[in-house]
Amino acid sequence: MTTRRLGRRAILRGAGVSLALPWLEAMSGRTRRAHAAAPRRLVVFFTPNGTIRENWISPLVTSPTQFTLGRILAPLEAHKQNIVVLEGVDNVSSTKGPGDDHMRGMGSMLTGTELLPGSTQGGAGVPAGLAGGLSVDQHMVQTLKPGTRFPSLELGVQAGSQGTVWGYSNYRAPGQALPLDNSPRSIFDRIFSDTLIAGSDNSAALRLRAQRKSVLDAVRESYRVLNPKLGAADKKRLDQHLTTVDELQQRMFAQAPTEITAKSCLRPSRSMLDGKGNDNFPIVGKAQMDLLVMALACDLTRAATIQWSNSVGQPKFSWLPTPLTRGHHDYSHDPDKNPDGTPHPTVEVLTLINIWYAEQFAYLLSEMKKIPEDGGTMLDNSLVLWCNELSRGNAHSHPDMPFVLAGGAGGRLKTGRYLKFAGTVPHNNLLVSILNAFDIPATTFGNPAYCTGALAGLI
Amino acid sequence: MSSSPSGGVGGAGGTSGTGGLAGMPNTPAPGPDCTNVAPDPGPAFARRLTRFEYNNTIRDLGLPTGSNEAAAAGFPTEERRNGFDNNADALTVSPLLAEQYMLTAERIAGAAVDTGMANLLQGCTVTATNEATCAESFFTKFGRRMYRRPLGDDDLLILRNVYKVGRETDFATGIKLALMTMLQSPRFLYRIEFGATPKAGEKIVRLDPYETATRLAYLLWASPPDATLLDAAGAGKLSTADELKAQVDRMLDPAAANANKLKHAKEMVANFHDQWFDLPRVLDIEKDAKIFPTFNKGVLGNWQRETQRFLDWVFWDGGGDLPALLTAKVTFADENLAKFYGIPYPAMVGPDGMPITTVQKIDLVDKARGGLLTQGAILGLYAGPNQTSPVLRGKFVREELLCQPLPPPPNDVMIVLPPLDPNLTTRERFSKHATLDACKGCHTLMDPIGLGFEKYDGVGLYRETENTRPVDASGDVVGMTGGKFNGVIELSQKLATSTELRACVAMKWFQYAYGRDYLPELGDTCTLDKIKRQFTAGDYKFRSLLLALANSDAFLYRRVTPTGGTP
Repeated sequence: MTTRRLGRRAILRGAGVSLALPWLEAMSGRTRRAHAAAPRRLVVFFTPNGTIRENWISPLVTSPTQFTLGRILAPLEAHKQNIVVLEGVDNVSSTKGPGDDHMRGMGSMLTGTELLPGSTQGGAGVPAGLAGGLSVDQHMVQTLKPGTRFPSLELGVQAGSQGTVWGYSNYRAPGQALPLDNSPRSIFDRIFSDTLIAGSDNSAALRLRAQRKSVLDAVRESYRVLNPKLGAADKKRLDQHLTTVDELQQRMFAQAPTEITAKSCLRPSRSMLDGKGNDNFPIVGKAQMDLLVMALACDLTRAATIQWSNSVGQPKFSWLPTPLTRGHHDYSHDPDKNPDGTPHPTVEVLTLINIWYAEQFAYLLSEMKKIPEDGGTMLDNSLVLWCNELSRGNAHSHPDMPFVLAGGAGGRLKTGRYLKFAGTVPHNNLLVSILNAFDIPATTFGNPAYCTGALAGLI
Repeated sequence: MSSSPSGGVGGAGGTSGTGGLAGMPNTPAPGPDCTNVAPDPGPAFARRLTRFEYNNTIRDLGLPTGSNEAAAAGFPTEERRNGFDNNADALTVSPLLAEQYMLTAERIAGAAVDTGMANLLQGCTVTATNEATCAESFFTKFGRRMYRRPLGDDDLLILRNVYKVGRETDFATGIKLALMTMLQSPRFLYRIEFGATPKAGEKIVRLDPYETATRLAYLLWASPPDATLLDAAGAGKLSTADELKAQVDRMLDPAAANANKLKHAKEMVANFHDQWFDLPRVLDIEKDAKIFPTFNKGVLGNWQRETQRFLDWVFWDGGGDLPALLTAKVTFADENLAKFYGIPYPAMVGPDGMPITTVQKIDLVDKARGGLLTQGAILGLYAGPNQTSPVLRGKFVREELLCQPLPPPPNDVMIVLPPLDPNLTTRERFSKHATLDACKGCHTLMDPIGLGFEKYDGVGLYRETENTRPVDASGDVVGMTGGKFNGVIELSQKLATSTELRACVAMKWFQYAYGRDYLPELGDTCTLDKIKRQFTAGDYKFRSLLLALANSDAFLYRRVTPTGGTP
């Protein structure tokens, strides 16, 4: 303990005498987090524009535990015992309501319900608003209230189309999307600049925390003196703003500034990437995944999303061995066959794009496996969902969605399986099972019209 | 008033801005009778600064951004409602935004005290003995610019307290913490309005002078009020119509002395046009190189610039009236774009003796070109990657130029574009829309307009034939009196003088200028009616429209809202 204990002089030097005073309790010995079971987390991994089903499915399934992986999922071979491949789950909730197929697929992906009416024009000329429900990750957070510094983190890799339903995975309420942060630099500033980590130099973080506390107190006071003077509509609006500031303050300062002692929690170096530039897509994605894993290792959040591009996203895969010149979404519209019946070359292009995404997914799982925790590794204590807003791009379809689960969810999910579902199996059932994996006794999720209970045999 | 020749948006044009097809375009409704209607400004919400406004505000306050990006670069994108990103009701605050306000305030305030505090302290020079005086100067003088009104005691107290905490380190830290607080205060991030104290029984009240100054500044500049406006507010000189008009004239003054102010107005208008016509999206257009061999991605920037320069010219210079938007025989192209279109590019030599190839204003002699609807940005945006799209083009005209929203297709329809066929024209391939019962109700409102664009291919090039067959460019704006036309030039001429377009332009500006939905209620109907009337009286000059927006009851008054009561 003594080596980590902050010397009084160190604080006074580091933070400026008076600013540091409120934080003297930091010296009185750390309140080590009670040695509870390792935290259980939900991670969403989104990639857009559908897949190529014939190359995604397994060519050979002898039994749920004896199977080979298809070409697209082959990069997950090393993680085969840590995943569950779901074949034949359908996004039924995306078949009704306003919006085009991309919009409905995206909005219903984690909410299991129709979009709100609205004025965003889809490609097919069917306007819609944002998703009409809460997303499963936010339901988990709002139910379990883990009290982490960040209720959830939404990381984007050049996630565009924000402001429309194409741009978001997560919703904290109907119509209230959670915007994504595309900048590794910004993510670092948000989550590590004032975090106290055992064993690292925390003087700058302490100084920043003291400033932030004083300023946020003053900001909250600015709302509190103003809000009672406002008319009802404005009061509601500014109260909502104040609530987000209160929550921010609460998350940062509710407890005395204890140092995070988890062995694997290290302050990463500050990324200078702003997240932009088509050709930076791979390195930005890696930086975001590294930050995500470290945020989980430091237990700063229990729900994280990494969204690659967005529905209808157009990254140009210039980094593939044969660089692609058109945007992903444009390729996804090409037909399967040429007029003469021969296979269209784009089928191979889209296969390569999805293989690349599988490699990124494999990287995330590898990094999570590297973090030892009670009960095994971080991956064993997490549930990772790889999802897409479409099944196949050119058909804009929603049956047979390409869902892959990974991680043991703290022992709740038995992995190393390939589950085939026949008939119509709504993906709302999968969302129910995800909640069950977090010990939330849900029996339905999203619009109950598209839900028949948990996904049979999953949890 | 009821003798109005134009009626409301729901009037002789026969269209309801928000009512879908409740009144089909061919069922004219009588104009509103606003004769004895008490002015009703409608609801007005505290408007949060958009990223555009935030950036402009930081700029006008002379504050550094503390990074190599725009100040608001990290803020989440606004939700667009009615096509615009400044609808107050949609501008909610996410946890991410609250964090970004904090981080951005830290960046700006840190850089501001590091780069010398002359701007912040408003002329006060810090010595060993006058720190308190300089801090007060910062709160009251710079604070008045940041909060756009003199600070109240509550706010001063908050700033003095947080300054004191920082001052325990040093003076600069005290100022920095106060500035960080101001940058996150609702008085800065929102445009808060109360209006004058109502007399008994009053339902509406005039805005107070500072609120009026702030509305004017963000309406015309998308920026905070300058010293002249704040001083006019302080002197109570923003109440009469003459005083207001003098300010509007000053704010839009084309004289060189005010060039910087006019630039802000032009940026505001450009922001409106970008959103109305979705121009940022032009850079993302994808076209099939096999079908359109002369097209390359380099054209996209030229298209976008052409339309942006054209709109700026139409609004501020080229007659400045609505008909010019659709009919001006002028465009802005560099040599490459002129070649792409196949229009002559004037040979000019620069001072260095080299031929000029950059963007120039070109007077169009070509019969096929003239006005917005013949420009690549619009023709290319509202088309498919490998073909035209009568549906998208018709829908654009119907919804964006006539403000007649269309309902979505029925749920059970599979929307698949008819495949290309070397033996058929586009008109033939889309003929099913006119015969299938499930389709024709709505497609009658779109396709006959869009088919009139058929002489312009998917990348906006003019053609007389398609698949070796002559193109039939006859069209019909079903429901509009005299709506039959042949080709885009004739369509543009008809639209340019139509009641529907005039009403629609006023409606789009209403939504953008007031940052809210247009409500199909008597109050808004009469407000819009008055705006349209002034637009008409001003010969459809856009300046007269801006003046009308700044002069309306909706702009100068607000409803009396009981504190904390029901809305």
